[in-house]
Amino acid sequence: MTTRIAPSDDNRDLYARLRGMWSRLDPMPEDLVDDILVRLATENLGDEYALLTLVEHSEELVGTRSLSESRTLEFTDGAITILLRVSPSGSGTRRIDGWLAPASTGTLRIVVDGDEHSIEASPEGRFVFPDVALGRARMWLDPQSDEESGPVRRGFTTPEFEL
Amino acid sequence: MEEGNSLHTYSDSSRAQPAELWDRAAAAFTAWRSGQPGGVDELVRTMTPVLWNVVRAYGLAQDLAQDVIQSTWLILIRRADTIADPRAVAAWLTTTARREAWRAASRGARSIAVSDDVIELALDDEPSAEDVALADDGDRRLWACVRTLSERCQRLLRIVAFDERPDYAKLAQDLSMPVGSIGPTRGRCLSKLKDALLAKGGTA
Repeated sequence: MTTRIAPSDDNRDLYARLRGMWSRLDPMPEDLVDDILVRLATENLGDEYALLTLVEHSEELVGTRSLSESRTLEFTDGAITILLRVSPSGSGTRRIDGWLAPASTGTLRIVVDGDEHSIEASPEGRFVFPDVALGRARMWLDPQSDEESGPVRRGFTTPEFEL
Repeated sequence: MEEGNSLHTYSDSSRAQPAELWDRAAAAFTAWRSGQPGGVDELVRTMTPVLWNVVRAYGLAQDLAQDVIQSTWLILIRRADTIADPRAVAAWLTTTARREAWRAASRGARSIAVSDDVIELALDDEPSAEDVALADDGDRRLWACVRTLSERCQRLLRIVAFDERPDYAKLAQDLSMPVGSIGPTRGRCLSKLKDALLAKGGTA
């Protein structure tokens, strides 16, 4: 049995006051909405892309100047690995040298705060983004398919990382 | 996503009548299902504050309440196909959240009675967000009256305040009450609250 009764008009004001009071007394954590959106974005990738995880993150200081600092990030799902070396380039931007292992060709895209760059990996699995702005980045390796035989490889994406 | 932005959406949601939120949720759901980018974001921003209140009414601790709300959204993503009528999405979400909250509460070790939990916030000596929030006289008077009600009344009123038309059959199950007594109980809780407010010289 399903009974649904809407509150009558004369109680509407009281309910509104109760809503206001509870919202102020026991407010929802500020970052709850953002946490959920991040979780859903990951969940919502569909079958086309698989999410890689960050397994290695190291910072190398060459000399003592932080300007020459570079970082290495390694993402993998066990079967495929994307290795990135992020180093300073020119005026506050970054150069990203990347390797796919096992070596394979494919289109790589990087999205930094909404700006997208894309590039093809060499047959050795190497790729370079010479000049990328700082910001929150995410990289995508697009799925590959063959006109005759259909899908060859699914796509992969990294979690967000900071450049 | 900026903090200021989510705060704005939050207070916006808390003041709106449930019916307005239900319409907004239906529109966002339709947008999302038709592939419009941002549709699901709008749905999450609109309904999460409502779910927070519904779930907290079950007496779940903060972290557990967050888990329950997150799984409610994941269930929606997986089963969105089964919701044929966009106008049903808000009710679907609150019903699912209540079911998940009830399950979590009955597994129980980490749950805290909502009344104690909230009183603690209200009586906190440290100058905190809660003190600032309850600086409002009307709020303080209302809370003083709500606190005199039974835990069951507090729970029921919080759910009904945020959930426009809770499904009484499921609600009865959750609160271990016969379905026929939900309406009368709600009525009694409401009149006790009004009496208490009148006794304090406020308006009911």
